[in-house]
Amino acid sequence: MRRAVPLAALLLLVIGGFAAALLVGSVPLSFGEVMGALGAGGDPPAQIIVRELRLPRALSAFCVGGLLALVGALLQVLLRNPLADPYVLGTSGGAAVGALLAMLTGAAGIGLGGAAFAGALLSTLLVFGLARSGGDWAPTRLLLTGIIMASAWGALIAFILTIAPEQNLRGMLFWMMGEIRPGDLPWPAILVLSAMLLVSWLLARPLNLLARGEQQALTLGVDVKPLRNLLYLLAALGTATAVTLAGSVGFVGLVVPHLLRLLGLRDHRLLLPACVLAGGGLLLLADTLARTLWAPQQLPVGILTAALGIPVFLFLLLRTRAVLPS
Amino acid sequence: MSRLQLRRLTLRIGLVDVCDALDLEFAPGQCWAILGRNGSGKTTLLHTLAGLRSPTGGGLYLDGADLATQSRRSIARRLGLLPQDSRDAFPASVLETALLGRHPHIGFWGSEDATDRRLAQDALHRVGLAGWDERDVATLSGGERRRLAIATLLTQDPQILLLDEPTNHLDLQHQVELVGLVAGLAQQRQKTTVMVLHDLNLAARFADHCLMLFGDGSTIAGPCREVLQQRSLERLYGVPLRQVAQKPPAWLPS
Repeated sequence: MRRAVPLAALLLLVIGGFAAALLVGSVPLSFGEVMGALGAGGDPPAQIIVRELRLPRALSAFCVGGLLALVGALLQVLLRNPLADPYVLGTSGGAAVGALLAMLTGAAGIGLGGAAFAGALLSTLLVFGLARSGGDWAPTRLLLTGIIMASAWGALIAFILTIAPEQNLRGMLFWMMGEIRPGDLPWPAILVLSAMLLVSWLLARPLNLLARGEQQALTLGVDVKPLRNLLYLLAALGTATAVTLAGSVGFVGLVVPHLLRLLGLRDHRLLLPACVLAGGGLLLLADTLARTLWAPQQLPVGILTAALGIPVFLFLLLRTRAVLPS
Repeated sequence: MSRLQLRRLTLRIGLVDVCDALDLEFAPGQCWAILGRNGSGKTTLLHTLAGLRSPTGGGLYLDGADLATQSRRSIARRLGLLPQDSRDAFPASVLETALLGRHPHIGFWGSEDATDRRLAQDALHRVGLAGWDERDVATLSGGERRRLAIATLLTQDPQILLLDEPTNHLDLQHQVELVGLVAGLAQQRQKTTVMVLHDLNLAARFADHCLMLFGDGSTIAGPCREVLQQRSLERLYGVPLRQVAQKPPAWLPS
């Protein structure tokens, strides 16, 4: 049970994050008002603020952060590279091209999310197809293909920004910087996150082995090929869902898994749920700050994730006496 | 008691003929040494024996069934491999690493229990890493890491143990101790052990069977006292040798 202590602490952080997200804002609400609005009662203005504005937004932030951190952990194992993050396979670039094209053609109103999702999925499938066209794919090959695709998308994005009319530019730039947008309850993301956590948690023990290398995993009884394909599918789906909801929010997917590993959560049975809690909690706090610090102006949430996470990460990195693998 | 049989096994990599229609059985209680020059295909053969790659021709049979048709999990319960080198991308502790060996024995819903932990600690004790449970693997020296990899294989406790250059990075004392330990598994616990070795004299001292790979498809296999002849060894390594001891036999380049 000693092993579950970090998870309990992270759970408290998430509960605190949700409380802050629901209480704080341009209209201050008391604890009683929020609880009333969440339940059946409460007066109508508070009910609208909590149920239709703050709760959906808080859940979106939590899901995006949780998905990014979970996908980051999975991809770091799949590519056996500590520098892997959810966007390493060109996913965010593909999503951005999809979203910007939708804005450019004026289709944004009806299908911005769909276009971004399609772009993200298209990009990951392209990378996967290209990387394995020579038969079996190796992590390095996959990584290189992803990086090349990302720069291809980058060039395309620069082109779209150049030809886009002036009045679209600000919206496009903000989309790419990543922001949690107000909206309905994010049911697709909630479902994807729950399903992904469940499936990947069941695979946690094989993941512990895969992290030691394919050969070691095979000789200790892990059927590596289907596992790799499944991981890839999960990563593609998770990243596409997160990018659709919030654009590309940097930092969370790369750093949260490492942060937790530095804290001693190395077994994936603990690391994966901890990633969801820590990534979700971090983005929840960051988004609450993003919409209140500079109110009424909103800051891109990526600025806040960096401001909150980087000092913590550097502190842990410097404090940890353990030698990092070279 | 698991048996591994090679039936007309043919293995080619690039221009190298590792073996050609080789019939051989690795039986319980035998300790084999695989000898050959660099690039003669020793590691490739060992990986093929572990089912990590498919042979060019012929087949491998574990307990009478084709290795290619068996699940990795079922193979891993009976056959284990010590890879030539291991590299860690993520931090891990010594005990966690040894415990990985229990994976094939634990059900899908299960997790490591006290017995598994005891087996892992016992294996760590046998390779001289007792009490190092919580040490970070990244802080170990090359030789200590090698002993940890051997402990992981001992924790897996398969009937057939394939070891690729187990003496890599080991000092003289640990070379003798650990090859002795592996040979002892065959003699005392009726395990089948197959080691790729570069040290001819360690092989002559501890192994009872020997397989020589000449790299041109020809092989010599059999009990050491029959096949370890100076002329074959000189042909194998391409250098003149001088025998310096009789029991066990030992050679030096002359």
